[in-house]
Amino acid sequence: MENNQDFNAGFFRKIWLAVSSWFISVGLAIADFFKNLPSYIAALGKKIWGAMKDFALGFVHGNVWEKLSYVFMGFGNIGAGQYIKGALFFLIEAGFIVFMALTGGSAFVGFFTLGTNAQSTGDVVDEWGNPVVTHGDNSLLMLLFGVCTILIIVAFIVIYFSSVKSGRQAWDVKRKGGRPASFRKEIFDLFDKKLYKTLLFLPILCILAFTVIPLIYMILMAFTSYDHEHLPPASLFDWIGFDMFGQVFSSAKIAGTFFPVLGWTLLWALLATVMCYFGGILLALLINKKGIVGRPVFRTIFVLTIAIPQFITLLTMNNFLHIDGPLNTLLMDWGIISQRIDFLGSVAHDALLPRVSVLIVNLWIGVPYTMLITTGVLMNIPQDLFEAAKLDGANPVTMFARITLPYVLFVTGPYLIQQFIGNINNFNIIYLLTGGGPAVADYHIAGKTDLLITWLYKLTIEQNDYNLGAVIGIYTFAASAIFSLIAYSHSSANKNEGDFQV
Amino acid sequence: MKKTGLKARRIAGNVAAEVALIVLSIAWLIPIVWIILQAFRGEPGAITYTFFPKELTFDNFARLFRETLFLRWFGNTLFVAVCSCVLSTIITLMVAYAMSRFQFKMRKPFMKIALILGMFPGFMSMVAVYYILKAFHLDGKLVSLILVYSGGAGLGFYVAKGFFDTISASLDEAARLDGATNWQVFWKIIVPLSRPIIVYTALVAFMSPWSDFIFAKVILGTNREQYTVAIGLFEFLDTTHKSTMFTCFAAGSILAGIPVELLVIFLQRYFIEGITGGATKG
Repeated sequence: MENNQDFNAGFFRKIWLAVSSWFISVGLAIADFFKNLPSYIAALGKKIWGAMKDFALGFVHGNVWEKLSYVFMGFGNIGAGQYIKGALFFLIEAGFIVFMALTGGSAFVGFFTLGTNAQSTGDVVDEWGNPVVTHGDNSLLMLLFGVCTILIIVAFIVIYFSSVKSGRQAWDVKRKGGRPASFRKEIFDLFDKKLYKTLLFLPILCILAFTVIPLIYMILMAFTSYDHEHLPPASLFDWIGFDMFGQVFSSAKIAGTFFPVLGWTLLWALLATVMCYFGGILLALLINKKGIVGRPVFRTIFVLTIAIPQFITLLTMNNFLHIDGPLNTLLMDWGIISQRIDFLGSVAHDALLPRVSVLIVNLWIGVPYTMLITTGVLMNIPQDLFEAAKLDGANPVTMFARITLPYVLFVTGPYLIQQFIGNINNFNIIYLLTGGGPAVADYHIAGKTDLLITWLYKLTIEQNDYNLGAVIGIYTFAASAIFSLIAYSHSSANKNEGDFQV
Repeated sequence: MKKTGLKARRIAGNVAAEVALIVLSIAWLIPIVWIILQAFRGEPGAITYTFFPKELTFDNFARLFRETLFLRWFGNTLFVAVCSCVLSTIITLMVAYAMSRFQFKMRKPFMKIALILGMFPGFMSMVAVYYILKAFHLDGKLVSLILVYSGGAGLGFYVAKGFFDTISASLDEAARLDGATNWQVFWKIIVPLSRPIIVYTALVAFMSPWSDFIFAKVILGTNREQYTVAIGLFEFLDTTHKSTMFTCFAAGSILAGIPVELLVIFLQRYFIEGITGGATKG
């Protein structure tokens, strides 16, 4: 018994040490990054300088065809006998010029002006009561088209440089007495040696269209005056620089909401992650205990709860925990409580109870997941470790803390990081359970259980303050990005990637 | 003597564990049982003061089919789910294979960028996605939902990549010595060997349209004919409909849950393998 006490004290000290050393290493990693920043920049500069020198020297030393390819893309390839490839490059150049002349040029200018003619609606309304739209610029669309045009320009520049390089390589082969690869051979390569290019082309295009462009678009909104007073197409918005970024800290109302909401978001993410994790491990240990009867039944019950679409689970829970809902009824009938409890804070203003409720509902949702994940991991722990510990007279608690927990932690490190980030952005659970409530007067459009992500939703979709929403989004995103990049580079999975590869 | 004591202790421990498991199972099942009971509840209203309904009826299901567009929504969701499941699976496998088997300059940067982009909460860019779709006159259409759901699939390659990494490279080499191209290696060797991860990827992609309502709502707007079950059912619970539609919501939830539920139960093995792989290989 005494031994056990000692061990527990040691165990907590060890956890505390591990956590604090992790924070120290995160700090060191950040410091390292900034210390090495000048050398990164120097290396990058050197690379660019080298590329520019090559580019200029290529022109000086090249033959007529190569020189021509600096103005007419693809001529280097055509001269070297790669007619189809050269023609394709030339077509791209022609297409780009036509695009810029027709729409790209004005879209590019529009990106900077964001529109100059405001809509002149006056008081004219149509039969449905909507204002009649007469000529006016739509800042929102101009920003979007501007972003797309800039991406097209960047893509063109990349293709331009690669066309010059491709022409020179073809001539290098020719000068050495060889024959540049035929078009057929290059297409064949795209399905063999360079298959990765073929495989990645479509997915990257999709990522650009549905993730990268929207992301850039949203980030840019943070630098504009796009709020409820400047809603296109009725009125224009404009570039305002870093004003909004400062306002989050300087405006008393917004800062007074941002910091408490940020604090609760981090606390929530930490508690939700840790609680689900340990709950899941304990459940897995219970289910996999030797000699348990009906293991498949229990496991199926928990898998069943995972498979239910989450909005159904959450809306059911919302009604189940309602102040007039069945849980209160059951507890009253059984005589456990004498007064109905406001679990989700729909009536009262107390923050603690709804916060505990969302954590517990999250436990209900998250524990079966962790249970499934750790079950596999638990099976893989070498059994002789336990045998040896048993011979040394270790009790179950000791074995859990000394063998099981470290092993599971080591293997599922990446999962913990994913869960933490996932919980920071856990929109559904808050939105569907409490809606962010209980609302408080001294917050700017937020309630006590609002996370940054649900606050952002209220600011944008409900209040139309897109610029403030974008700033909050950038801060949230930056926090989770920095956290997980450092965590990943310190976690075991990243270091072991090479082990699987030959 | 000592041995029997140990045995008794083990039996006691197992009984305690068994009891704990039964209690936990009940705790996990109560909300599910409740919502099922609500679907068959005869008395009207959003909330009743009893756990068990006083009268049972199939009316809620009948009303769901007669008075609402539920059948249509169900068809829409199934359509979106099947299409985006096929597209996402293909995209995910392509990226995962490229990341697992090729060494190229942009490999590491791409993996880091994918990680960062994946952290960006999808709906933050929702407004932008909406305007992009609108520019192509795709807003309010189911096709755009399919595009949005499968468009991000290229970022979710980590689990499948981890799986491909465990397939021995000597298989590839043997095939290449026999004159196979990388494309043939991918199509004829890797894909057939990857059934668990393909099933898992497809299953996850199939599940998300049944659950997402925020994205679907913004993209589909007020075009109720094109709604998916999630938005349709969510609409039943707004303040004006809740008192009359709550039991229909319960009935619809059960019907919407069935396809996913069946798939997960039948494909449990692959599902578990997939999420375990995702958790341990990042």
